[in-house]
Amino acid sequence: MSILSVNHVEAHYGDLKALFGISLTIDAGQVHSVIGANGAGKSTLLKVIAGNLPASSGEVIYQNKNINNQSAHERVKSGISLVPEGRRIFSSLTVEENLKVGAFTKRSGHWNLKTVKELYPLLADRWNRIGYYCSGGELQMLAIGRALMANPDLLLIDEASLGLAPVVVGQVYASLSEITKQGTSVLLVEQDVHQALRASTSTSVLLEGKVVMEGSSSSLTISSIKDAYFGVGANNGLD
Amino acid sequence: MPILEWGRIMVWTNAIIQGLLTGGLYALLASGLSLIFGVMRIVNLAHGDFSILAAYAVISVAMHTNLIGGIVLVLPVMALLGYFLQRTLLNKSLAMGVLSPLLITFAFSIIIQNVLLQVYTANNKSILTGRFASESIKIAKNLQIGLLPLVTFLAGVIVTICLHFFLNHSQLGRALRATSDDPMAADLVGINNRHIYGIATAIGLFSAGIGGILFGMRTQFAPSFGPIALVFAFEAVIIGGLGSLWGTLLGGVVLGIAQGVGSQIQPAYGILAGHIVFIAVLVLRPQGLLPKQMGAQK
Repeated sequence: MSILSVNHVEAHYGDLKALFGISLTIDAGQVHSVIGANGAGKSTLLKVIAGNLPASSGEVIYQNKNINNQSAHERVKSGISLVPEGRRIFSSLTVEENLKVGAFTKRSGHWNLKTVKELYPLLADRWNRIGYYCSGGELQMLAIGRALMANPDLLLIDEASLGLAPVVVGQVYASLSEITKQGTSVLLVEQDVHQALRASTSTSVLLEGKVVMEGSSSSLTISSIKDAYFGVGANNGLD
Repeated sequence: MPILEWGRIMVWTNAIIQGLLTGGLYALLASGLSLIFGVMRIVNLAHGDFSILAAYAVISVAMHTNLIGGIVLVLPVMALLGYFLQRTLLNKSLAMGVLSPLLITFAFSIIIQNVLLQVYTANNKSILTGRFASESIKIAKNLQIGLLPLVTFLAGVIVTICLHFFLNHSQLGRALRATSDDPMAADLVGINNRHIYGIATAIGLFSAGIGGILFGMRTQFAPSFGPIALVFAFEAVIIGGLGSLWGTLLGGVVLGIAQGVGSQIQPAYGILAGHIVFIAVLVLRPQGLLPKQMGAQK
């Protein structure tokens, strides 16, 4: 059963078209990754799903309901949480306060201050530090922790590995399995292709606002992805 | 004859203490202004007018009930008015750039002043409190503390403490601070910014109302008094440091003391002395006396 399906979605930043009819489906409890080069529209797609950016056409179906007209904060209430690009941690709030604010919608479930602390023990050591003084790895864990506090059914993660030390990337990805174990579906946007394929069950490759390749992550080969990534043989005007 | 004889010391001590107590009033006027600016970056140019509006409203309601009834009724109405204005006009104007909210609050200021002028005329009025306004506590020879100034000061301190606990220890307060940090990220954790902005303005006008009512008990006022109250509130916010609650209280107190000491030098110098201290802080310590402890203000 699919938890989310995106059907022929288009989106614009002002006059600039960023998404050209994207479709994808995420099965409940699965990790789906979206990969692509800079400017392919990965973050834009997440913004449309999270409700930060309205779709100019097409539909976003979540748990069998069209949510096009729901605002971002309403979507959090219905169980969609985004870990945004750049983490966007509240810089004057402490780690603890950031997590508490994450539970603003009071959705019940597995995740609370205690379980998030167990998932990311590093956060426990930084409990009273304000966001402004946290390191990149701490911010990323805090951003995921904050999103988990809303006990989402669908977790959207934008560029979890960006700017992090490899050891921290490893820790962040190791936590994914713990998250899906609770029944949460994950949509992962990632530039690191190897990392994305390893962490996900299915993958879509985006190029210039279109899906150019999709399939189960184990069936996609690096060389075929490379071709799709750079538009080789995809015949879409990248001469 | 000693230069510092006892009587003179008491005169100056008195000036400082009266100034300090007046500072509580400025802090009351300033805390709402500071909160509204801190959360939404709206400079509420009508803040002083709203406080004068509350003072007039208490006079009208008190005529039909009594003083306590007036206060108990008017303050929640001020909060509701704040929420309503934010949800209708101000939220819309926020999407239209920085100038629109400024113009809208400026319009509120003009409208309030003219409506008050129509309804209450330009004659000075004050809120009658019976003996309460003239009661005082004798501390020493030549040193008395008026009950009303003391209550005003305590109200300023209590409002600051309440706001502190609300902002730091309640979920709604945390949401307010989160929205102030990053409205888009707040949206992403399920916070409805429009509602939060409404709450901030509601609290702002509630505290402005307390300030206006106490002001109206202490002294005579007229519909044109809003802008001068706004100037004092502004100065208190800047002296204390933007975005800092306790700074605002301190700023109010410093402004009050400057005015008290100035008046003691020469009665006409009171307000001038306040302005001079304000400008001195702006030049020497532009971040204010107790700035927000963080570097990430956007």
